[in-house]
Amino acid sequence: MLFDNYECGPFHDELFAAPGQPRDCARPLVEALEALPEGDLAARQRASERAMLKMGITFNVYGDARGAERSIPFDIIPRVIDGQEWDKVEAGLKQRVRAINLFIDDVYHDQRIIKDGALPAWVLETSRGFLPPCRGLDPPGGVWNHVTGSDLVRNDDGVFYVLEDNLRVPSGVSYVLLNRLLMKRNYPEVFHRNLVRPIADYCARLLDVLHQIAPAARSAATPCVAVLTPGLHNSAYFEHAFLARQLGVFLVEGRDLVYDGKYVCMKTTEGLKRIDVLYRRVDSAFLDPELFRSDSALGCPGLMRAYREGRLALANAPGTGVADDKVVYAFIPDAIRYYLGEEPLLPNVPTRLCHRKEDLEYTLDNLAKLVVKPANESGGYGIMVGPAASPQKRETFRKLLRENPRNYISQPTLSLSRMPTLVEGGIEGRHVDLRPFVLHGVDDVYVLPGGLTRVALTKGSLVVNSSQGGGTKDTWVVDYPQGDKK
Amino acid sequence: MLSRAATDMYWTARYLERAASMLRLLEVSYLLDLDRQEGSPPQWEPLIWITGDMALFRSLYPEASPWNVMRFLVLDVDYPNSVVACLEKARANTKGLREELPAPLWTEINRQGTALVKAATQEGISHSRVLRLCRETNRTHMLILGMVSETMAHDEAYRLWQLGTYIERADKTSRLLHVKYFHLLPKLSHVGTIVDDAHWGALLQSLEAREEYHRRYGAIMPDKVIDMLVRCPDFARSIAFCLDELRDNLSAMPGDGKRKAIDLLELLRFRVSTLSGADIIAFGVHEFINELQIQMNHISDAVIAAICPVVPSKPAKEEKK
Repeated sequence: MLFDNYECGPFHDELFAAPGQPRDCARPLVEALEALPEGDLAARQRASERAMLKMGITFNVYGDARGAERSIPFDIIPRVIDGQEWDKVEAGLKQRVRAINLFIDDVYHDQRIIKDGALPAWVLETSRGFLPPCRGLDPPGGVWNHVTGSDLVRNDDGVFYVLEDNLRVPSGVSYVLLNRLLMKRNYPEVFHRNLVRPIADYCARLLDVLHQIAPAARSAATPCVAVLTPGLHNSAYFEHAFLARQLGVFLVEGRDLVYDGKYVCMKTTEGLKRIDVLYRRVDSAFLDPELFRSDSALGCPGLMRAYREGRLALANAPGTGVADDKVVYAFIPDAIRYYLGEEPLLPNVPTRLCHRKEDLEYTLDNLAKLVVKPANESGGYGIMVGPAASPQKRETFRKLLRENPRNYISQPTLSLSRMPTLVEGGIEGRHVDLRPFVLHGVDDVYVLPGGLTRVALTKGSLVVNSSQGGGTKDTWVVDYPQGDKK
Repeated sequence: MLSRAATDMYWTARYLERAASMLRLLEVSYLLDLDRQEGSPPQWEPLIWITGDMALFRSLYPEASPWNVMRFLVLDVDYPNSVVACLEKARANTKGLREELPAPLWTEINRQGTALVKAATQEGISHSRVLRLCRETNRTHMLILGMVSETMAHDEAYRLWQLGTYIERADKTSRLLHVKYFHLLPKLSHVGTIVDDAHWGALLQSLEAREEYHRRYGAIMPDKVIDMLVRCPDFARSIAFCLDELRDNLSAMPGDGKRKAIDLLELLRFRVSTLSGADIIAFGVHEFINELQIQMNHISDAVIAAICPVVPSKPAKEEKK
């Protein structure tokens, strides 16, 4: 049988409770896989990868001189999450995203959280993601972080931890939607049993959120929505184009936009056309050279004037990147307690802030055991995984930490959960993480069931980022029939 | 439609048409050269004259040998008008057009010429293989044009594609005529007297017009060839046909900015319809084609102006009605 030789190892395995013993939620999948003729799985995997290339599902790799386009590796064995367990994760994410929104709103207004002593002032004063020009902004409905993609990991204790929050321009949802499309083709028999929670309405929900925040004066007509992309060379360009198509809206770049003194317009063959809502996938700092980085060609001068005057809505609001800061991250559980008066449902990974002398000393003393991360990078860049790092790399980080301690945090090296993955020569366990996507509308918060499972395809590796050789898997939230055990 | 996407659509079609016409020309010239007799002029330099990039060629290659010319025109990535460079530019343009093009068409454009690009990096690739790749690439272009007509909505994006295709085609037909007229015949004094059937035939063939020509006009005569290529309204590579297509497609587009381009087109179309092949020879082929090309550049500029709104250099006053 397919999984006869599969080893779980000393890790939490997503599909198997023990060798040969699938978890209840994974049983329908494992049965479907074992019913396949030999070699069929590999053939389906190849067919799926060909389909992805044909659909132009590719991403660009930074630092590759030729700007090479690759398709992201796709693994045919989906991750399965128990529906009941997911309900708890979902509640935790909603709680977290609500608190983050209140936090962002507060730091750009009265900063009560600092006055009340729940957040030290130095955190904001030294945060690169905190944009002073955003102070006093009042986004429609008080919503800043319309789209959040927080990264979750499961440790060997089987508990989901929040590893980081992505609020600037979180990406990956296009892979979630396309992976599902491919999986439906591959395992129709499982989907026929209606066990997997559907995700197909994500784009409709996103569009709804974008319409909700359109300037009031235009609410009578259908608002004009556009996706703002940095352009072809951005690593997530495929996703920007995909979402624009799925939403049925324009895909614009900064050079397509012009501020006419009142509104932000796009240049079209029929003249200038006013835009009401921008789903911006350009980082805040590049949105408007008048206000932020003056060297930016990715935004539109005057954009922030239109925004401030309520003539343009932005999702996410500018300035949300403050909550991407990994030092701020460490305070989010406190923010949940502070704003909501609730205990956090999803725990953080224990985090040491090198800005604090004792934490810095601890980190320097335990470099070989810890993961050290820069506070303001994403995509897995600039990280040191202590146990895997060469002595040379550790020395480099020792120096970096001493030079700029504020910019670094450290965390224990987690034993990320693993799951069966199709590799050369069969099925082996590989480490995975999970990026769920959360939409914060004016009235409610929606969590896409599952999210993007990223898998570190290199044996033993813990780095799942697609820019660093990671792949993706479909993620199923399964409501398995209770008492259906064999 | 976004002006940027509109411009990209227009140029994608132009680049693909440019690559395809080069490939056809090259194949025909290559086959013709195989029949060349001792003493008759070589066919390779004129190919470069057609492109107007002789200076660049001379800076890159010592002589106009068949292989050098083929390499320059088809495979040279350092030459911005080479076939692979045109295909690359078309690919780059279509990356931003995913929302505008049906997925199978987009895929076909992106796949086109990847074999040629790969061949460009190989040393010692055989002529026959290059020729085969040329033919395949050309067939793909035909497929793409068919998909454009059959799978795209005949909306603005489609019109822009047609504009790009026909303006490039009119340009290529005129250049071909121009260069062949002066470089094919051994001496200028022979123009109109000695007709080198093989060369005129090859010219017609490179426009896929040879059989049609014989059906209509019989034996090959320069003035008749010019007549067909310039003003025959129902031959898809004639200048008149291209101008008609340009006018029809432009008229079908929304917006008010296109008036100037249409006026220019109608003026040129009238001029073309009044001259027979013999008139053009009498007027001067060189002068006529020069005039044509200047006018077509104006038309192309006017098309671009029609799809890109005038943006006030300074933001307008606070109050707009």
